[in-house]
Amino acid sequence: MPDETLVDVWGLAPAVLVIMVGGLALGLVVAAVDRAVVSGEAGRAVVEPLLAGARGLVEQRRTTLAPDRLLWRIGCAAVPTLALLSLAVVPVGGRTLWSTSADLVWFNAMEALLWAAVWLVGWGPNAVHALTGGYRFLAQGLAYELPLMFALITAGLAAGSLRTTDVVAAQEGLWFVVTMPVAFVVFVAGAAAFAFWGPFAAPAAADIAGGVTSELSGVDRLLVDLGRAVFLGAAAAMAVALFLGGDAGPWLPGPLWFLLKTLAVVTALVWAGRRVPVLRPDRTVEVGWMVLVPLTLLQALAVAVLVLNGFYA
Amino acid sequence: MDLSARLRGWALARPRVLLVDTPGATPFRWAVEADLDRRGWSHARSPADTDLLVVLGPPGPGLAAAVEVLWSQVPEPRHRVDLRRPDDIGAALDEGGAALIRPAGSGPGADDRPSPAELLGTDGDAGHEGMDHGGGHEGMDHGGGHEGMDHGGEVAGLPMAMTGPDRDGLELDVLTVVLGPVLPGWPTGLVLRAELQGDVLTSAELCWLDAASLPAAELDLDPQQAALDRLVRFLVVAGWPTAARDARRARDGFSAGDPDRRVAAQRRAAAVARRVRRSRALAWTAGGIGCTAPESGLGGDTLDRVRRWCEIAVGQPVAELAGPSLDEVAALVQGAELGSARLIVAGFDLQPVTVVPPSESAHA
Repeated sequence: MPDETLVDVWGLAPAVLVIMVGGLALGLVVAAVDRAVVSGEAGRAVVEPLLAGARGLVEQRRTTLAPDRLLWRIGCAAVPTLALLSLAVVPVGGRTLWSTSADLVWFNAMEALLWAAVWLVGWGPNAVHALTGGYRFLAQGLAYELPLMFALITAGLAAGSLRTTDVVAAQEGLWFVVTMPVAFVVFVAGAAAFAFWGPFAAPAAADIAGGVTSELSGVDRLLVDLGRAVFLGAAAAMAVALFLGGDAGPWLPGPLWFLLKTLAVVTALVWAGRRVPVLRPDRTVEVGWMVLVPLTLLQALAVAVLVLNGFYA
Repeated sequence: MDLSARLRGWALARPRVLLVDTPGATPFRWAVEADLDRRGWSHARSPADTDLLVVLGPPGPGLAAAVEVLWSQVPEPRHRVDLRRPDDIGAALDEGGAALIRPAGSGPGADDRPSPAELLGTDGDAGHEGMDHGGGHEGMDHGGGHEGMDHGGEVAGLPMAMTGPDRDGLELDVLTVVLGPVLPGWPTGLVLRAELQGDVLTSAELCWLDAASLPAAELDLDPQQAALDRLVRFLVVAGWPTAARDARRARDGFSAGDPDRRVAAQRRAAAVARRVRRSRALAWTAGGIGCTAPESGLGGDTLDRVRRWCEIAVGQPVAELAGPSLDEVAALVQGAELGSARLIVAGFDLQPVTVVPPSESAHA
């Protein structure tokens, strides 16, 4: 008995519009919190990302010698598109934009397609720093992808469904973060990694002059930076839905709770993430495989045993 | 039309600045960076990211040619400021910011910049490497592999990358790249010519631009400020913006005449030094690279050198180490991955002018 989706309730165009505006607002929040932490001045933190956006609109687009222009542009446009598409399965107020019966797979697929998009952004300009950024993203992807998938599937396992609304409903008694803290932490860290932000910003780091973003200007830079911020926001919202009980909470209306929890996750993530330097992918890949894969598997095993004992029923 | 002018003024209210300092202009650069911090203008990472190009002091011929190439790669709207003397920084930056917003000047139609191919055609010694065109040389190397054996041929007038044996015994494309003379957290004027396989440097050679015409001696710098400045560079390269910001503010605070600000700067320096020294994440990600033999007197590995700077930064009496020769640094970065190579270079105090260190204690 699939629940009604936002599209069913509001119609296609308004529902899509609401999710898009919501996604952009979420991206702005992420960028503003990040800005406030990095610059240490909270006053202009909200304005700054808007200024950066306006700058993207007035600035000339960059060209390089013999670029792979088509693939380059596709990559740049794909980053924010995938970020907004991943928001389509995040349940707010008990509804998602659309329901696929395999929402978790959908979310993961958007993030997997990001591999291709970021690689193309690095490949396209035919420049050494951008290409190095692309290599780094793929190396980092090898580190985070499997633990991230195990973390996602652990939540699905406990709920007995891949539908995010079911996962939220299954947390009525107890938030999943209590029984699966490892999966929660790995998921949030994985979110920072696929948005190549903070300690996982190696693909766009200063040591390679901005890496995949080094040859971007104008609207291309705007799209990629926007996509990264929205992805981080979408992942924080997803973490709330999967591990922090979604919009459950006393006194306040559900969507407000959801918003507050998402804000808390974003703030905690940015605060913690900006306390450390960029971690080099060749070292994170070792931790990913030697530590996180076994840990997340053990986490999944523990949850599976709980499921068999009827703990979540 | 009014709307687009307003959008422009709004968008460029806090421009991103690419700073090019000429050798010997270190205190000048500190003054400009302090001014940029006060305004909240951030540093650009590449020409594509730049609104305002600021050149400090008169560059030598090689650096001037490189700056021309950088300038040609900066997208509109852009403005260039040449600061000759440290006495009118504020006014010059004000003027630069205002000129950026003014919609006059060359529109996209009146674009007189050279095509990338033209720049590569004049491929001489120094000029042409900004941060970007290292890449211009790269050709479409991987694409070539699909066409069968033939690795020859040209793309956009450039030869294809050829293959060579790599460290794991595979045949990989070899890319000839030039890094510098202007990069974030990089000593301006330093040029690294290298061969790159994937992101591993298989050969490396370092030199200074305009080596013949460099100033004879650096001004006498306050050791605490100098150590903090080196920390800033290293932290920028290590991708730790909050720590780099604190170190920069501490450095600039020491220049202030007001004793209260100097006390605050000392406190801030102590805090950032403690943070860097104790950071396990930094030790994990930057540890074990740039290792030198104890008898070389270069102070262990990169992390040891950085921790030593932390001690100097808080005012502890630690003897400065001798600067390594460029060949020694080149030997260290050879075989390193690009990120490690950048950290190794940032972990040395490389200056184009030879500074005679004050009496050197032998132990590292």
